[in-house]
Amino acid sequence: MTIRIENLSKRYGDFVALDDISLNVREGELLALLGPSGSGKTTLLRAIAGLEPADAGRVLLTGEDASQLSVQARRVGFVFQHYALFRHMNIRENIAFGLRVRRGEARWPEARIRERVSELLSLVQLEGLESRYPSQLSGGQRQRVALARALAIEPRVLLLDEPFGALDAQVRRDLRRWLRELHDRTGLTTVFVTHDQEEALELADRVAILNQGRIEQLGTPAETYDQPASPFVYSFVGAVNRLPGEWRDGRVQVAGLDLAGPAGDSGSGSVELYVRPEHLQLTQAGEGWTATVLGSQRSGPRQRLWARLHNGDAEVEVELPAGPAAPVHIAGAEVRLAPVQYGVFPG
Amino acid sequence: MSEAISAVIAFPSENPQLYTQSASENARDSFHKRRAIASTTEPRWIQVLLIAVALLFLLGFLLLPLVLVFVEALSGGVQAFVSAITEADALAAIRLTLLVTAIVVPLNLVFGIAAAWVVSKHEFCGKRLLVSLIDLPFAVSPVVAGLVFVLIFGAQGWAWPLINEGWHFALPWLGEFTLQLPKIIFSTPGIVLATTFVTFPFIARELMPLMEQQGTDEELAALSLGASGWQTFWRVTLPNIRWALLYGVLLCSARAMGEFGAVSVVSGHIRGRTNTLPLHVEILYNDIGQSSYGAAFAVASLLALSALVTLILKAYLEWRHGESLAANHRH
Amino acid sequence: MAAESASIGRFRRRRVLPGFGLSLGYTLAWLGLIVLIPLAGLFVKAGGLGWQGLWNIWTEPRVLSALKLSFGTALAAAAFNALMGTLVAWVFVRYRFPGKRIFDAMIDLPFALPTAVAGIALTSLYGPSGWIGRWFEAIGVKVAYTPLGITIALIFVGLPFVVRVVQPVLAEVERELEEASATLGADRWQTVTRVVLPALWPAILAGFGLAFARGVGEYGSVIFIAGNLPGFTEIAPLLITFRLDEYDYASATAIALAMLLLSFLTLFAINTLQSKLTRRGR
Repeated sequence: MTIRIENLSKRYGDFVALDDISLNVREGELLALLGPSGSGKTTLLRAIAGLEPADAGRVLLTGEDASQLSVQARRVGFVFQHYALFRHMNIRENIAFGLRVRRGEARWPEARIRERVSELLSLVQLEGLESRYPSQLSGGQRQRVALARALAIEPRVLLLDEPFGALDAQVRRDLRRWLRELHDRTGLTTVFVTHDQEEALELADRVAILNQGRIEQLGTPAETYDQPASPFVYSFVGAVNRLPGEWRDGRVQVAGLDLAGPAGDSGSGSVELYVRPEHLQLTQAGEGWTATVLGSQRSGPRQRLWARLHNGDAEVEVELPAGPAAPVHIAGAEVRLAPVQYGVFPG
Repeated sequence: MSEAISAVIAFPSENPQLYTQSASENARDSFHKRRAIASTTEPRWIQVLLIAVALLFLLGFLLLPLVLVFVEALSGGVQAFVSAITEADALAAIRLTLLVTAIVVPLNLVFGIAAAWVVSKHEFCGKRLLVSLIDLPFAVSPVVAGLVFVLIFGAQGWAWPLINEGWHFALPWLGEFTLQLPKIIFSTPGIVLATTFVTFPFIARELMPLMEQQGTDEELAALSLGASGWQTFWRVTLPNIRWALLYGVLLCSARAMGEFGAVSVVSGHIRGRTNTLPLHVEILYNDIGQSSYGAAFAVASLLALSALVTLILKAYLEWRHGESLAANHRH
Repeated sequence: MAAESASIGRFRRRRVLPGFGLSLGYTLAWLGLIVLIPLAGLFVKAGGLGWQGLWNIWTEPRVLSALKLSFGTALAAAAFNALMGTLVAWVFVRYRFPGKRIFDAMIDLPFALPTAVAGIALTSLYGPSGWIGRWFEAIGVKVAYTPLGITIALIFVGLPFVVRVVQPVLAEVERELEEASATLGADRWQTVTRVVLPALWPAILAGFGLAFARGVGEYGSVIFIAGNLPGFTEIAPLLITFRLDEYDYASATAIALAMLLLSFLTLFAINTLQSKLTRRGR
């Protein structure tokens, strides 16, 4: 199923949650809605499900205007952040719930419902636990039950609201991989919300980065990381150094260094240069900035360096490969740094 | 990979409070509290219907009797009203009711504080049993409450000899003594006892959950700073529970003044002597005679007024100091 | 250090906060004096009658009908209150309307109002010429001086119990559960009956139990409206007072014991049922 969001807006009193958002979700893709709290990502997800009526704009599910559809009729599988499992029902009853509330012709015969439940239990690897109650399961197990329950109704799209937020790190990593496998196996269009950029970048086919109710960038994880479209995306996804500079004769002057504008742009006025630590390289004398090393720290296969530029006193963080052949930098030493990839934005 | 997942350690029970809400979630929540969500709430007409049914029920069933009391009280005119409540027997009933309340409430107050203190700040086996026992008077019919005291102190009770004749005994060198209990049944002490029984758990139950929730940290801090037990109690514990205490005293007084069944059994209904206000209302109501019907309501309106005052004060306390009262209100 | 305090353990812990001995002693003494000893006296007296003696009294026609009346009307009233109380709690927790705070305070009225006042007010209200009673008279239904009147009085008395117990529990039911149910395709009625109400059962049951226990022993609110005809509208507590007036302590004790035992049994049964439900559902 495809989802098309057209000019969706939503406010809560004075608070603007969604600001004229438009987005296309492709058939079978795994899309992440990434952003800090308050960015509107959960609101957007709930709007797709019909749990939040929008003030303006519309949602089209496979071309059909969903504003005519109630939550019940949309057939979206929604997995809540805190699972929302029915505590007074056991696992089997929870998973079968969506099938049991169907009426009339849509209702499945009992045998088929039971079969589906077993199918799902083995899909989420919880066979043997169907008679247990949610309170008797761990967080990760509850999460899988919530997933199975949403999948039981054969939804057209799967929506997950911070699915791994309440779990500890190791469980989160395992479930991430597992979700990706599940998605590849079922081919179901999936949209999930997260504030964890590592999660989004690792899992998704495409990422939509939201900030204050707007989409700052929509692209593959690689695109959002390597070619951030805005200062916000630069800062939110990965670490970044920011240096002030200005346009001069079609080139950017930053701390005494003359750089080409990215992608041949040109402009005027003051700017900020955004460059990731791993995109700063050591150069020979005569090129790049001169800087004094403030300190360094070894971190696994990488080495982190802090240095102060001579021109302007800005401090930067540099990430360099480490290992037996790599040079060791001690505080006070002088190095020369040059950015190999960067973004320039009006400052 | 499935082993990795199934080897997951049991996650400690999710504590939703640990998840702090973002500004947008707060905005969304407060917004939702003001607007209904499309398909996850009842259709508008059902809401209106349910509200109407509930409110009509409350108005017609609960409020109407109260209104009737005041209407009937004043039906004979203000003059009749005043004379009804200033009549000698009525005044005696008022005095007795106030006297009994003034004795019972402080007694139960001290007990309530002691019981709440020992239950909520200490660990000991049998604690649950103790709490259940304190709750017993709630499960007992007021008439049965009166009955148990008649069984002991009534004319055929086993303490009767002590009351009627007293207990004569002799101590060496000091001479003879007689221990004689005052008349309990058909007299004020009986009314006090019965009322104490019935209102026994009120203050304790108001304080217990609150004090338990507050924990012992502050008291321990006070002790570590050198305060004595009593100082800790007066300066640290009491101020923390003062609103719940007031609330409990309010409930206890209201119930003490209005107690009917238990007092009816032990008092003997002697007009002017052992009649409390509720009993006086009963007598007036059962009297044949036009004026006594209105008089009954006139006297009843005094009690109804005290009930109203109780409710208003209660609502005020909850509004202003809601967080200082117990988290769960179980009456 | 930790091992040391662990070994002395409970004993040492008690000593940290002072006043344990004093307050426990006072509590137990007072409890014993006011509650336990008098109640024990009841059981001793009842014991003195022996099971046969008790049974004889319990099966007297007048006693039997009084007990049946008290329990029957209390049951009916508590059942009605379970229904109505839940509805009222729902309306107050879920909906907004003007004057909500005042109406909310009104719910506690039966709890605060002295029973005798409630009794005469209800009798006046539902009597043949009362404000409401006259409408019932017109359609030929007698309210006052019948078991119906008793039931109505008990409904009045028991309502706050159900509402105040259900309200906080209902307030805690997470909205997400209902949303989840909706996304799975359940309509509103299904969501309410399959998801919300089951979560409320323990509370409703508790409220029912409290209202029932209160209703069985209720005296003041009922004796005016009841009519008190032996064998028909005579409630058990009233019968106790009659027996006492006749100095028939034995009979009074026996009836009181019956009431106590059945009340305790009911509360115990409801408690067990409740904990079974909560254990599963938590």
